[in-house]
Amino acid sequence: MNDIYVNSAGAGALSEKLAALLSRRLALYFSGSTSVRREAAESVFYSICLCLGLPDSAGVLSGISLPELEAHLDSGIRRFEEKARMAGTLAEYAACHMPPVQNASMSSTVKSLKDFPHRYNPRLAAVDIPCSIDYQLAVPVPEALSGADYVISYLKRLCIENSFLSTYPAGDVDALLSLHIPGYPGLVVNLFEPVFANAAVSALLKGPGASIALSVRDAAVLWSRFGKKPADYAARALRAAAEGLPAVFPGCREYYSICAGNLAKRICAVRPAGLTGIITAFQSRSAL
Amino acid sequence: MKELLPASFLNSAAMALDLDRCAAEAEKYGLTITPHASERINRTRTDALKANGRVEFAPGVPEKLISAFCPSPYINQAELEDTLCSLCELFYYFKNECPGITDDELIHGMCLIFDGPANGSAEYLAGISPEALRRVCISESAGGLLPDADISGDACNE
Repeated sequence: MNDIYVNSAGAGALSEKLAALLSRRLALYFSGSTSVRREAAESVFYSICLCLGLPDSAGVLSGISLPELEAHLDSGIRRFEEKARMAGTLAEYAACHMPPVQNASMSSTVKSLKDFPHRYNPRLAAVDIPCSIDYQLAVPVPEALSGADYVISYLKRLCIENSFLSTYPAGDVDALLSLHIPGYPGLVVNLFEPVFANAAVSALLKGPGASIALSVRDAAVLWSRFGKKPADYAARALRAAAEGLPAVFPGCREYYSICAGNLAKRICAVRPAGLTGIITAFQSRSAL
Repeated sequence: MKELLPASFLNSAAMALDLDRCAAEAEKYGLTITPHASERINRTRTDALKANGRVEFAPGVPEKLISAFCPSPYINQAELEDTLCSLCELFYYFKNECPGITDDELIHGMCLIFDGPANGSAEYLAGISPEALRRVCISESAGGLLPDADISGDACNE
C-alpha cells in the first residue's frame, strides 16, 4: 500500500471518510467499548483498505458518500470471504494431490492452510495469514500480496510444483532428492526446484521425455554449452526445453518459464564444479 | 505503514470532551467541575490513552466516570479533580488488562471496589489485580448469580 490517499491534497476528503468509516466499524466490531488497542485499530484500518481495493481505487472512492463507501466495504468483505473459501478449496485440492515423496514441512503447511477459511477474518485482519507456512516455494509469492490473495497465490504455485513432481516415478524423484538433499523428508527445503532443474536440463540435452537422471558427463556438456555465456542465451534455451515438460495445473508454463530463467542465471554464474549444487549428477545410471 | 492511519487516530485521543455535560453530571450531586478541571481530566485521558497504546473511536468515558463515581459517598469537592484523573488513568490501564469487558462493566466493577473494600481510595483500586477486577465485573454482569469474587487481600499481594 502507498500513502497517496493520505498525503495527496486531493484525497483529503477520502481520508476523512476513511476515518469516519473506521470509527463506525470499530464501534460495530468492539461493541461496548469506546477505545481499542492501537494495533487492533490499525489492523481494522488495513482490512478496510484492502477490502476497498485501496490505493488503486482511491480515485473512484474519493467522490462517493460515506454510506456508499460503507456499501463498497461490505461488498469487498464478501469478496474476501469468497476468496477465503476459494483458498480452502485449493488447500483441499493440494492435500489430495501431494507429491510422490514425503516432506514434513510441506505436509504441515498444507494441513495448516486447510484451516485458513475458518481462521481468516476479513473484517478485523484481512491482511493477516493466520496459518503456519513453513514450506518455501521455488518462486515465492510477491510480498505485495496479503491475506487471502497471498494464500491463493501460494496454493496455486504449490499445486503447480506438486503436479510437476507427480508426473515422475516416485523412485526417480526420491533418488534425485536423496542425492541432492540428504534427509530431505525432514528438512525445510523446496522439492520442486532440484527436480525441475534436472528435468529442464535433461530435456535440453536429450529431448522431451528424457529421464531426470543426469550424469557427470551431462553436467560437463551443459557447462561446455552455456558456461561463461550470457544468461539470456541459456534462458532462451532452457525455456524452450521447459515447453516440453509435463504441464498439468493451470499456470504451469508461466511458472516453468520463470524457473528456467532463474536456472539459467545460476548455471552461467558458477564454475563447472559448482553445477553440482544446481543440477543433480549421478555417478552412474544404476543410481536410479 | 503506520502513517497511513488517519491523523485523528495517530493522536490517540480524537474524541472531544463534552465539558458542559461533565459539569452538568457533577452538579446533580452538588459537585462542581470547573473548566480548568475538565481540561486537566481531558489531558489525563489523552496521556492515559497514549501510555496504554490505545486509540479512542467514540466519546464518553470521562462523562461515564463522572456519572458513576460522583454519587459515591467517598467523593468530595476537594479531591474530585485528582480522584477523577486517577480513575481515568486506571480505567485505560484496566481496559488493556481486562479484554472482553465492556466500558460500562469495567466502570461498574471499579465502582464496586471503590465504594467497597477500597473505602474511596484510588490507590487501593490501583493495587487490585486485573484478574480480581475481571471476576468482579463478570459476576456483576451475571446479575449476582455467581458467588461474590473474593478480592480481599489482593491489594496486599500486589
